[in-house]
Amino acid sequence: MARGDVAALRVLYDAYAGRAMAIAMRVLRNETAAEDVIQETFLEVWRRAAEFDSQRGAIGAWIVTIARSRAIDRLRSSATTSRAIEAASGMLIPLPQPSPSEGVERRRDEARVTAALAELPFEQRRAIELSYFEGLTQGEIAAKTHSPLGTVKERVKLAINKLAKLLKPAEE
Amino acid sequence: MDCRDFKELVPALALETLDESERAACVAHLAAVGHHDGCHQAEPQARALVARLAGVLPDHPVKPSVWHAIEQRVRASGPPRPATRRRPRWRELGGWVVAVAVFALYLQKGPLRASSFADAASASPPAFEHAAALMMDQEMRRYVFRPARGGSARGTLLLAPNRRKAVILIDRVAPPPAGHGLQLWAVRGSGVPAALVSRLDPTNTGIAIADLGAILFEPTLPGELLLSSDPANAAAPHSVLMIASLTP
Repeated sequence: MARGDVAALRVLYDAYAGRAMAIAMRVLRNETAAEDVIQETFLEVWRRAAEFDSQRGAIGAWIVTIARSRAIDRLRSSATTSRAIEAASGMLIPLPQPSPSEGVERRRDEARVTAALAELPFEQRRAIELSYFEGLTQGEIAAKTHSPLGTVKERVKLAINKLAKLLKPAEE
Repeated sequence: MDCRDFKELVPALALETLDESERAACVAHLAAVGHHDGCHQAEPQARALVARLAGVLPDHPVKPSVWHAIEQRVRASGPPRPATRRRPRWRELGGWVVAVAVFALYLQKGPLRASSFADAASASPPAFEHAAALMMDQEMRRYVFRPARGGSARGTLLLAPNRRKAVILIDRVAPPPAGHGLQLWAVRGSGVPAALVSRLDPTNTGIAIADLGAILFEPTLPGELLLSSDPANAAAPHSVLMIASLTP
């Protein structure tokens, strides 16, 4: 793709657009805005293809990270942020339904991540979900959950560190 | 912020849940040259872990029109750009922009775009911090470079002999051509110019800040400093861009 092969971009799009759309939808709660984010994401992937370094992570993670960042940028720059914070349910997300078309390895990883999230204490999991899936800052999470900011920071740190431990064996 | 502080914040950085000032501090720390205690490994690891969280969401169908729009825009934009060294976006630096704009005006007394200067500062945060510290030092000396051969390059050297610290700021310097580099040369007495190790790497807007550390004082403060744009490993300066006299 770094040499300008649009077909290669299409392969990536087919593999990851659905996941990128899922996270953009989750953050923005607006299909049109999420579709704009997907366009921006894959244009950025195209423009920055030569910068991708596989030693820093998988390409799917890179694409999802770009999509989520663009969605959060849009969320935070819009006047509807406060409404989005209000809308953020804080409800724990439902378990995914595996799709037969998805790769076995991908489904296995999803199951492991889901199980690892389930092992987190409720408040830590909620902090992760409000930050990752709703795009809230730690300050906004503190306001939303009526918790001290320091407590939220500690929950985020502990949660990620625990997830890293729980998910590490598969990476080795 | 040190490496330990950074690693405390890296989970929240990867989640993009930090407030702007903390995020800017993390970005500046990552961009800092010099020794890091695993920061450049911790950051992508945390981002990779966080990206896996998206797997718990079922894929969302995307309308075919989205791909058609992408394809049109991709074909209109031409081939991907070649790899370049990543520079932090100046927007990520928040309040730094104001600080460096003031700093630039103090040093150069010339119209500099804050964003351009912040880009240079973000590429060398320790140099910026050292320069700010030098500005507060009562022993600080300031030397202004003069352009060579009627060029437009400008430069300022700040140094504090008591602390053996020196910082150089340049602007209006074109990035050197391929295979060339910007090189500082020290002239002591009537000797030949000696190359100084430096990290002068101007942004595409022609600005750079570099921390010279103690090398400028080894073995003694030079009488003159030259900045040249020469092939890498040149034995002597040929294309001199600016000169500063350090003689009191």
